[in-house]
Amino acid sequence: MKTLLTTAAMVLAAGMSMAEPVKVAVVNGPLASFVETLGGDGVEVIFPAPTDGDPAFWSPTADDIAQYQSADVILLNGAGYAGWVKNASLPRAKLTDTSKAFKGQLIEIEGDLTHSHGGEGEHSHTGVARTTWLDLQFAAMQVEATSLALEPLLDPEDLAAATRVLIQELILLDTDFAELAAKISGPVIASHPRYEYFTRAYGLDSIGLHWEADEVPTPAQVADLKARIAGTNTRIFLWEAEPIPEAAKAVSDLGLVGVIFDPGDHLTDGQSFQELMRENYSRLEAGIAAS
Amino acid sequence: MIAVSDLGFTYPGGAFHLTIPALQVAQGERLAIVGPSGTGKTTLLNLLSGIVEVESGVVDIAGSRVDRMSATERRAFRIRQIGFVFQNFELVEYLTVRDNILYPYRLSDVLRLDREVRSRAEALAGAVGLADKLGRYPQALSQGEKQRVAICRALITQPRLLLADEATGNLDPANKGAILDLLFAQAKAHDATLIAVTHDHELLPRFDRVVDFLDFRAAADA
Amino acid sequence: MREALYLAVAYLRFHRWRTSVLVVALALILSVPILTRMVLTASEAQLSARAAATPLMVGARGSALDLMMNGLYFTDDRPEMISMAESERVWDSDLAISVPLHVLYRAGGEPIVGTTLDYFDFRGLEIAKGRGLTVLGEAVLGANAAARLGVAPGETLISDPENLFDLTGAYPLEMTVVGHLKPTQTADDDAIFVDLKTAWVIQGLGHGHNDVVEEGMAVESDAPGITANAALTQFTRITPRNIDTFHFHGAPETYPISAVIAVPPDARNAAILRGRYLAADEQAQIVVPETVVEGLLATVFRIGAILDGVYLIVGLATLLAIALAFFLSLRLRDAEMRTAFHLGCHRFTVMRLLAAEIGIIVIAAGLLALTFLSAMSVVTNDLAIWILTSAD
Repeated sequence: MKTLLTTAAMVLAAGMSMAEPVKVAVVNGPLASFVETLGGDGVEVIFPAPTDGDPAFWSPTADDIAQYQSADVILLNGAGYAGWVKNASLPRAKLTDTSKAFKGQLIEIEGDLTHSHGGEGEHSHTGVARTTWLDLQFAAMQVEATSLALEPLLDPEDLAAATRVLIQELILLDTDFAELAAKISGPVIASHPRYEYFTRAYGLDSIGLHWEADEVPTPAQVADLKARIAGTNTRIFLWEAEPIPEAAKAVSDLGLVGVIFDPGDHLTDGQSFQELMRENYSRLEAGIAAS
Repeated sequence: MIAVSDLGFTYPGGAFHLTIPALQVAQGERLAIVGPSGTGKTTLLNLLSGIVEVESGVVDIAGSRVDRMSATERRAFRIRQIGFVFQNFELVEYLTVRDNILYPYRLSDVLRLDREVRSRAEALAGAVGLADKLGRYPQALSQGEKQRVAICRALITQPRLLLADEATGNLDPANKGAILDLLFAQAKAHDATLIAVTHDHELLPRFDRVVDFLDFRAAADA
Repeated sequence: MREALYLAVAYLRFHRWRTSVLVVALALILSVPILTRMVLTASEAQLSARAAATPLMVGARGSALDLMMNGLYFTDDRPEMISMAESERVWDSDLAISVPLHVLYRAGGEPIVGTTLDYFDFRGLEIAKGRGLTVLGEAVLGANAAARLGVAPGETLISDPENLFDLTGAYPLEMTVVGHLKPTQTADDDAIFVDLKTAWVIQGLGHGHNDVVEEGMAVESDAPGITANAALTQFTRITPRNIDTFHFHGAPETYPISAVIAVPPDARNAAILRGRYLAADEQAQIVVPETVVEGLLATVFRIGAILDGVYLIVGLATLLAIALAFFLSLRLRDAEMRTAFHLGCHRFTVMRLLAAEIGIIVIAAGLLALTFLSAMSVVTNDLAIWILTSAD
């Protein structure tokens, strides 16, 4: 694949002057971070999804898609992330599915669209869990794929060095998370179904909810959670983002420790993926200590 | 001054031999030639104009010996010195009246078509009443008009000798007189000698002299 | 000579119809063989250039010519469909860029070419007006197709119903034209380009979940009361509201395509790739369009040579006929010639007159032929493409 993409990208990028940064379009924060870490000043990241929404479910406009089309490299997360991709016209030669290497290990989840067409009978759309990079080994593989996609367009030695460093950092994080997870007793509570790869990678059981960090949980939600944790030694509650005080209180009232574990679909300016994961690690470590 | 002597001509096949012992026509004279068909009247005009080569004898036209000329010389002599009104007009169907009148200039290498010639053509046409028909084609003209065009064409080169072969033959009596008047007037105006072959005996008194071909026949027989 | 020309012009003008017929006949004798040659040369150039620009094509076993004509000229020669897996196979071989083609449907009589954006890069197609493809349901028109269909960017175009008795029940698709391409003087000018996935939607392989407003007989969905137009057959419409519900069942690798254009970076990769399609039980074939074209060109050359012979004979016969007509007209002009002689014209004058007439006719015919040919030269290329694409 790579020698080919080398050629393809060379051909397609012909006419681009060496001084201009390589334009890389991505579909989420982690990929944006990988590209920036690996490419530095040599790349320009295109990530037009608005910061106030979930890029996994974003619908780009024609202009947004045109931006993707104009990129030299387009990095997809795969695993059904950014569903618009399947109905958009993107140049195959520039596309890289960063999760292709672990396609067989994706986690299938039950879908909610069940319907029938004519004589085909009823069927449902099963999907796969999308937040692949929370398994840091997967994240490392996505870095590997990103690096290969960038290889023809960047200085190979610099790129190889940066790739090595980043992968080492991620593997280290992976080991740290594994060690930390071993200290957790009982299932963790996931406020949202975002942590499938995380819990599987680090041997955790989970209780899945649909709680929003910026909404007060309803009495029914609280009662449901209470019933589900009864008889377990569960202590850790994972929030995607900083919860509002009422929500935080509802969690602590149940004797649980709220931990903000930001999956990083959008990264705040200047923060890298590995820095965010390191923060998540620290918060989780503190949460375990507090429990 | 035209002088013909001992002129002999045998028609192809030898069926008929024309002999003219002597014929003299003064400059400016109007001569009518009469005689039955087949006596050689048209042949005489053809010999005088050099259309037919002289076999024996002398044809002297104002000092030019036609009998001694080559075919090419006779053509050049004819187009410059002789005006010929043919029996059937012989107009060119695809040319207008104006171009038919100017036809000798269009054909010749020796004549030059200039402004003077053009105005002469218009004057001639005016004189014969064709001023308003200069742009017409022959097919749109009456017999009399065609004959008048033919006369204009014969006169355009200002010839010293005017030959007319049955110039009035196809015309009604009123027109005959008019055409003859025209020929006479034009010949006079240009001091041209006129030799006309005709069958119209009522017109003969108007000529200066009449030559009957039967006389030549008699002379030859004698 | 001036007077001879004057008389010649007078004669020709007087007989203007006769002259016109002569001039036109001569102009045709002169120009038709040249035009044929021009079109043949243009066809040959078209075939060679397009084939040379298309290194390899993968398709179903069967007629290599059908595969090539369908893939390069979007003709109705329909090769057996292959699956998208063949395109992936080329990608995965790491030997060539793979550009899948889906040429099966038409809209307004022009071929709908389902492909990926790589095709545009590969052929160097540029947008003249509007923009390129971004999402499902959009179409970009080649320059000639745009002119013929008269559909501007922003307007819609409905695919031709494939078959009234189509039991799969796939409705025609209403596509939004988003752009026009710059002319390329190739078959791309006559095509309607859509995303491969859009072509699959036309084929009924992909569908959306939507209410009757989007899919059905509604023609004025913006109107407050939905109007159904019974005169219109049902068609599918993809809108921003329903696009996210569009999906395909089954693995994408199983979806049909008509051919794959494979673009290897060098001859070595090309040779290796070709070697992979040699197995006896191989379902796909890989063809080198240039080789296929060579065979076709040999036929074109033969036809050209035969035509040259035919033209030579017909031309000679016509010249003889014209000469005869001229001779006969000379007989008719006997009286005129005699008059000229009687008046005393030089013997060359008549010859000069005839030469001037022939000269004028030949020059006029030559000019007419030249005008005709230069007018035709503008469309020779289109004519060549038309001949190539409408050969059934």
